[in-house]
Amino acid sequence: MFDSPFASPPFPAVAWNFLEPVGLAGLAALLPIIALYFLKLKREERVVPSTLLWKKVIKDLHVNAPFQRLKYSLLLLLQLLLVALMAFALARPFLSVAADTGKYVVLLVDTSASMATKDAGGSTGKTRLEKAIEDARQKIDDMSRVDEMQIVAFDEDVRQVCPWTNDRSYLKKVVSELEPRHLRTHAQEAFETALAMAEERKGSEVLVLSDGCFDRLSLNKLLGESVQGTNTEEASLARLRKFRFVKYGREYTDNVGITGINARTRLVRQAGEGGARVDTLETQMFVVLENFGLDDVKAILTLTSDAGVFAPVIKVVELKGRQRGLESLDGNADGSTLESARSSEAFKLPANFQGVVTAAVRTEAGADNFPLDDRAQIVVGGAEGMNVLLVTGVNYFIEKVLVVMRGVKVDKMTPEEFEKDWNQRGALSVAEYDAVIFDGCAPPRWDDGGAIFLGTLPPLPGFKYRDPKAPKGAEAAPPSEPVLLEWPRVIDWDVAHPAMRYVNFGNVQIKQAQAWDLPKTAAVLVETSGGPLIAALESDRVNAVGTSFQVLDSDWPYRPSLPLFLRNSVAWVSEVSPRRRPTALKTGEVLSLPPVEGASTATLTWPDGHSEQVELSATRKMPVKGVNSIGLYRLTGIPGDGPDGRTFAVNLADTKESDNLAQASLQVGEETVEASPSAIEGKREIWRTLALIAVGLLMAEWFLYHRRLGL
Amino acid sequence: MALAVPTSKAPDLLTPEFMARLDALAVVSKKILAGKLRGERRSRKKGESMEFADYRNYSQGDDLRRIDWSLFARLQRLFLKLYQAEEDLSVYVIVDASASMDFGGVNKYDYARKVAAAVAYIGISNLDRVSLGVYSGDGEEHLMQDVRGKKQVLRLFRFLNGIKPQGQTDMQEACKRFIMRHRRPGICLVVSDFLDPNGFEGPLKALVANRMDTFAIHVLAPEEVEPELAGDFMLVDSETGERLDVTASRRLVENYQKTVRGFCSSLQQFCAARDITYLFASTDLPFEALVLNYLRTAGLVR
Repeated sequence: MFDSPFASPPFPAVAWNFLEPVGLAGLAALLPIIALYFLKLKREERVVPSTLLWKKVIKDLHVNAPFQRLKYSLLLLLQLLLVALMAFALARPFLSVAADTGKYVVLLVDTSASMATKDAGGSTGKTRLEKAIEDARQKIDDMSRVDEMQIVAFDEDVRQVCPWTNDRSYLKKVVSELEPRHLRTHAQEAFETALAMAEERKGSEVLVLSDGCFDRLSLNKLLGESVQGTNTEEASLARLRKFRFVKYGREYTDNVGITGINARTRLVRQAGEGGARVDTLETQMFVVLENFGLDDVKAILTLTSDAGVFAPVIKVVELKGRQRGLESLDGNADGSTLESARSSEAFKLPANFQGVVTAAVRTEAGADNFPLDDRAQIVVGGAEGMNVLLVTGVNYFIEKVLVVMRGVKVDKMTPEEFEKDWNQRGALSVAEYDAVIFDGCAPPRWDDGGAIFLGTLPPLPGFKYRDPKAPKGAEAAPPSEPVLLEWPRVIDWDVAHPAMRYVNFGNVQIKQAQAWDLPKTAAVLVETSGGPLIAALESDRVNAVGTSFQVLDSDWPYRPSLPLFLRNSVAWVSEVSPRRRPTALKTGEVLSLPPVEGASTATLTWPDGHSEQVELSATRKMPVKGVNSIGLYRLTGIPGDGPDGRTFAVNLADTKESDNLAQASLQVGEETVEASPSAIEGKREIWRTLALIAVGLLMAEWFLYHRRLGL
Repeated sequence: MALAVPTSKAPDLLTPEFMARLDALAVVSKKILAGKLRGERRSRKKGESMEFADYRNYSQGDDLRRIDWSLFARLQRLFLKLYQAEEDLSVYVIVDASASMDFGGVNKYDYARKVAAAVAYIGISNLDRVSLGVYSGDGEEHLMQDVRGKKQVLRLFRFLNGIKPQGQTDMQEACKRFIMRHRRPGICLVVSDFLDPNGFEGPLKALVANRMDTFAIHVLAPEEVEPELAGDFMLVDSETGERLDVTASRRLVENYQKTVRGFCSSLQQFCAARDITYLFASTDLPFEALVLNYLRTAGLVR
């Protein structure tokens, strides 16, 4: 067994040395000083009748003051000391507190969002990154002429901001320009990169300036390559010793933040004017609040709209404090404790609301130490009305049902037309629709939007045909063709599901239905003795309903439950309509600009005010990278859009970054890299102190000179 | 007394008005000093002057002309009338003309030779035998011996004016040589700053040993007593040229002043112990006042 490779040295070895020993040549200035001293003492001659009595006086003084001789030359001594101090200061002496700092240093600076926490630097309220930059500058100052350093910044990306150099001013400039980015931390890649860079130089080390708010690192991934090379545990651990971790921030936080924001829009039927019922879009918002502090807090959540469409909604949420010992959320944390620190709040927005909703949280005590997650925004709405595409051969009943739905615009395609369009444009062919009803046919895949599959297996993951005759428990490949069940008997139906509201399925007779195997995430809406008859699947981007029987193979068209079911289903699946999906991206995600016809470029304005021309395409979504700041992004210049253009909201919404308790150590597999503050205090230059002493001596000399003369 | 004094020749030493005031003075000695010639001085001896002093009984062989016959007529006994003897007095003036005396706002040597001139003038006026010894340079001796009568005043002044202070003087050697030439006891006035590396004791002892009625006039300039120095100086000894680095602080100056006072005090004590009359003369004291008041108080002149 080996001793822990990361144990701090027992006591830092204090040693003197000089960064610029050539400065000691300044000691040669002592000789001219001595010469100057004698020249300076070319005294004024004064003729006296006799020096007899003067000699006697001086003799008496010498007798009375044995240190008179010393006193006499005190000024000279002071001056010599002064010059010596200055020469020492020029030689840039330093105190070597930890002598184990390498000559080659890879500075790995964490610029993730959590580094913006204002809990470093004592009462000055500096952010962690500001303190880290300050320390890095100190470290750069401490470099001697032959030392080299390179700087790697990491958050979601790993950036080599400065290659190996000993140009101190350049290094300082580069490190000073680092800013916390509103991004998550991908530490693994950064550590691997830094280690690889460090191994370019012998005797190098990686100085990690971070708060440690990221996932446990994988030791095997980090050291995997070398293990193959040297094949010994000791050698691989020696590589790990290259990492020196300097912790920023406190192991305490009072952060309360918004770690999730989402909204769902759905069509609801409401009583309108004159008692007529109208379909309106209703948006429900969800805000996830989390308390990372140890104390119970009352969080005040405020919801505002951008143009003041609705009065601000204020809600006070009591959040329990997190238990000590569960600070590391990736450990074996007790779920109930985590739940107690988190609260999901739902709000119903006014009907047909469109615009930006801003959620802001603060505690009763005031602002917390991490402001980035105190605010989150979401863009609601974006498209009016309800567009439904019906892909069917001839199904009079369904068409009739859809036509009578108010506020719904129905387009119809035959399966052949749809297939042609799909082959040309892919998913874009349905991008304009809130819901698509496939009657007896289906696209090859479905991964965005709402769809109703009537009598056909939804092309969704997990949906398979089933052979009811296959022995149970046997692992058999699902049949490629549907196995039909004759006259399946309805056992139960789920009236609680939104698609099944008011639907009575008890009187529906089905001639034949397909036997399906459903994924666990799917909900069975209607169950028969032979298996599921109607199923629903709900995911982030997809709401789908599937019936395993053709409508015309049943007496359903004659039942009132069919229009109810279709209306309910259209309303439910359209909740995920890409046309008006509320947008709230996370920082670092790729912003996809929708296909636009008639414009090849548009202007995208960042939250900080700077704007760029971005390319658009008529046939595909165009990705925009660099969406790294929290706030609203505006896309303007698209024909047909209003003057405000389109808005995208970007939030931090990341539990890992909001959980900004600084970690006392880094976990690398089963190993631990302890924080070693001395790594940054390696060389403490003291020339400023020496220069100050020299100035003090100068003043002392001045004072002594005048005091001796009794002026 | 009615001698015309050529005042125009000695304008810088003594003014006619001052000399007129000096005419009323005479040098006196506390001791009985035998004169060689009859002078104008009433000696403590009984002699043949016109001034009656005492009676004594007649004894055989006495001069019959001195018998007081009136008294014999009344008392039938013979008494002899005694008269005050009149004789001349030797007045010696020794002046230190070393380079250290050439100093001060009021020059110490000027001051010293004025005092010497005044005392010599008083002596000459009273037909005393006046001898001057001025010692300057390296053992250089200027002598003016046995001056008597006012006719010599001009010569005296010229003598004193003709000497420039310079060099280093060994006062002990000077006094010895002076005594060798002037064996006769008398009044000896020593005018000096007594800043002699060899000490002031030797010359004064030599004078006292030769039965001189010695007066020590200690001349110092105010600049010597209270120097105004601040800063770094190189002090140069005017006699020896010796150099001394001094950082004149307030403390050092205070110590110097204390040393000067101690030096004067030790000289005074030395003089008192040997029946030498000591007079301290700072050159800011007008020399007329010194002669007319202080010398009179000290008993040198009357």
